[in-house]
Amino acid sequence: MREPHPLLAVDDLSIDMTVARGTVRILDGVSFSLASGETLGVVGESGSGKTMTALAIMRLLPQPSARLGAESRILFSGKNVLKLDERAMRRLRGREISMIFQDPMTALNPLFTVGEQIAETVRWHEGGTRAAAQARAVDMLRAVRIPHPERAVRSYPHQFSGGMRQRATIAIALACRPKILIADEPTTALDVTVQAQIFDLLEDIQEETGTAIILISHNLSTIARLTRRIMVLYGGRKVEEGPTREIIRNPRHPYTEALLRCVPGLRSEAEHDAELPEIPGTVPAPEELGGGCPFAPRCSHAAARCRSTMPPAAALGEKHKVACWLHEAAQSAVT
Amino acid sequence: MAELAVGRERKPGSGFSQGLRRFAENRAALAGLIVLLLIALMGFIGPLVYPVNPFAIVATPMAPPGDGAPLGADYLGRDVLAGILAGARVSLFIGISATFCTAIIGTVTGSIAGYYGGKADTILMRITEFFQVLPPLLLSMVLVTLFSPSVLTVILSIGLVNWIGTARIVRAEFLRIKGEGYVLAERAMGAKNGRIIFRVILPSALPSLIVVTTLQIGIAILFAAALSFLGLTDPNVMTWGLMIGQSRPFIWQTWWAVTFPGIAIFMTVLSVSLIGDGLNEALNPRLRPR
Amino acid sequence: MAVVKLVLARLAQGVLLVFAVVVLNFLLIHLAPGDPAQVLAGEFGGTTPQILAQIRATYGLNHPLWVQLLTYIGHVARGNLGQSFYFNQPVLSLILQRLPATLLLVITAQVSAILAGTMLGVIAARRPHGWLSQGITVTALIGYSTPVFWLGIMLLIAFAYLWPIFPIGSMETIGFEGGIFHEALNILHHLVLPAFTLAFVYLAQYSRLSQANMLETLGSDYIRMARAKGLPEWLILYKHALRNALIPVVTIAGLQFSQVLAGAILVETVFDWPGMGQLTYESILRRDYPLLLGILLISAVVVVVVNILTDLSYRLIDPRIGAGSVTGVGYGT
Repeated sequence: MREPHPLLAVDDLSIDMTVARGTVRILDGVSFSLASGETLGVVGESGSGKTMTALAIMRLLPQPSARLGAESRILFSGKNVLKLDERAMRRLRGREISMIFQDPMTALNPLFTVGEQIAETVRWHEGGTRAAAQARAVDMLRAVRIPHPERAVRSYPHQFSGGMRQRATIAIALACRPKILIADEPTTALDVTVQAQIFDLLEDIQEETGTAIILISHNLSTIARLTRRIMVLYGGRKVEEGPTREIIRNPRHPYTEALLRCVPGLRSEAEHDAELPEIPGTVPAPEELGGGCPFAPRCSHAAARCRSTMPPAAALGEKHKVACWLHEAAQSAVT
Repeated sequence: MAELAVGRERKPGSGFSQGLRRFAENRAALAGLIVLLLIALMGFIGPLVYPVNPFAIVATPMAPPGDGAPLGADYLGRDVLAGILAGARVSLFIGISATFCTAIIGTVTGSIAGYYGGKADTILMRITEFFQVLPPLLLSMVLVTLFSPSVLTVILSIGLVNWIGTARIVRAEFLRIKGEGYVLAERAMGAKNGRIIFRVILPSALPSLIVVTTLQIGIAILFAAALSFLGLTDPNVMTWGLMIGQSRPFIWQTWWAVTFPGIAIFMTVLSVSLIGDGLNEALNPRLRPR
Repeated sequence: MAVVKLVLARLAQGVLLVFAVVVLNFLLIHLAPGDPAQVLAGEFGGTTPQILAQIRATYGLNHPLWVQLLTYIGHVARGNLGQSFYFNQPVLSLILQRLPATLLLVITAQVSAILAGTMLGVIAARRPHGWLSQGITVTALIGYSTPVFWLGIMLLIAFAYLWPIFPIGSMETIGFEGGIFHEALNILHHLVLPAFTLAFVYLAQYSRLSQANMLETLGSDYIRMARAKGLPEWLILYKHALRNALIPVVTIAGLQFSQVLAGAILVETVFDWPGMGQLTYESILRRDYPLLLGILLISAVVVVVVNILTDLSYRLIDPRIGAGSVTGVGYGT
């Protein structure tokens, strides 16, 4: 049986950003959905629009420079969060949808204890006594496996190491048992060994609580380990989406292919930390894009059509979709 | 070693003309410059155009503006406008001379501390702490009182208490610049310390030195005004602060005798500050917002 | 305890600085033109040959210079800052009588400048190019360029003469009788203009500083995190951002305290505020050197004490410094 609504459905999300030289479209017609308890991976280089997608879901896009496209809809349990007023949105943030950020060193307020930063979220969303919130903070710190949680709760962020801090932000994010956790490059700023520990933690939490996770990374291998489904963004567009296994084994978009070539065999994470520069060229600045495929300037298969017209999404199987003229045949076969 | 090669291009002074152009585009700074020039003009040509002795009793005591004196007369009948014209020259002279002292002391101590570091730097730090607990204005009051008030003691006392700010900026600049490629290159070529300090580093530190010195002129003028307000000034030289101080018991009767000299101080210091801010933006591009 | 250790270290440093001021005073007495005994007696006030002889004996002025220095330090250490012959009172007790009024004025001015300045800065930070923000920048420039004594006179003319809502000066209405509450109110009424005059410069300066810090803080990751937690804007602003933006303001306020104290001399003179500043003016007027040098010394002591207090309050706001790590469990990497 299928649910009446997916937990989260992002529909035709577009974002225009005002920059010094005018307005550019940094995200263009991205759609995807997330079922409860699922883990979705979002891959792309910096500038591909993955963080903006996350911030759009949280309704935390930089104001007033970012504007959402008119057709954009973000449905949480069937309700369009883009239509919610700020009060209702605040009830959603941190309680239904949480987010953790790339750099744990700066994500915690240095002037408050870690416990206070967990407890204030609990108290704000659920009310209750200070003591109860504090007790929850201890529980959360234990849940993210911080040693001596009773003492750690009274510590200040500067007394924590990087990995500990990221655990603490995860504890904050999960304190109100949200249905969705958005993790934006949660391990990029951490040591390799610590990275693995954080991923183990996220995996376990997923199993225990059934929280759906959107895992954002520039690193395909980290995504591959934790997710069942992957979405690849490039230049503000979704270029490929499908089950993780299928994408790893049989990438259809030249960009995904290139990404995978840089990650031979998906071995240890240490080996491919900086794999992306090996794709010739760099991500085009959004304002440099014409109407064509954003990857065309770097693509070895690029034809004239690729540079002028954006290919539509083609379905290659039940769940596998790709936006590339190479698969036009499949496209027509579906329709 | 690559930085040694490129270092040469970033030699000091190259941005100077560019900086001047940026300064000319800064309307506030330009306005400040014009006002300051007008005040200077007023101080030097004013007494010729309006030859009234500021100490002479030329009007009815407490005559309001327009009545015998354009800006009124004080409680003795002395012309306020004449006092303001005479005060302009003195203010600028004291402000610039005192700042000259601070610039000299500050540059010498700051460059020694910044260049040699170690003991010299520690001593400068101790002196800085010392001046931080001594209210500078109070110290200069004590100095002028003890050594009897005159234009010279006023200038020297202000110079002696205000050089720390300059020294700290020069020190910071020296610390920053002495690690740069072109300085290392000079040293590698066997240049003597004296040459490196005066011919290489100091020119690079000049923009910051100019900015802080300009701002110090404003501080010095305010200090001089405060001292003469308290009567710590040569009684035979008319200054704006002295005018305000002497007319203070009569503010209810002669508001003009305190208001106009105050406006003169304010305009002078304001124009100097605007010029200083403008120079800062023009000469220190790395401090400017993008 | 680290806090105690810290206070002791700062105290030791302060004692050294005050000691340096004592030596400076001694040097000034001897460098000043004329006979040191005459300097120690002050110019006005009946200095008879007997008094001068007595001063020579007390300070050992016939002995070598280093003995004189030790004698002088000994006197100061015992609290003898000399005699004001004009007031015919020991210098120390004269100053201590006037110190509370000065502290009331200076602390009121600084605390209101810090609080109001930070508040304005926080509000202005919401619109970096709004009218309030620009107003603060202009006010800061004006405040910086205005002689504080002149500002005081202008305020007196405006609010004590043209529109007389405040008294013309002094600290209390002469012959005022009433309960403690009314008396406090009376003092407060007299305090408004001088405190505002003294606070004006710093108010705008602190607003600018806190606005800049607030803008930086509001762009920081932990503020984004706080938003992602669903906290309301007021809580983010006043709990998470304000405290961070306050730190640099407190630091600067502490560093500037000696300037504020010097400003108080001028403001007290204008408003006839019966504090140490007014005493300074009188001692300058009478050439009462022992009193003037005593004021210099006590000012340094006050600044040292205030700096230590600032340091401590700084530590209360920011756990990262000093005391905070003592309670740490040692969560290293």
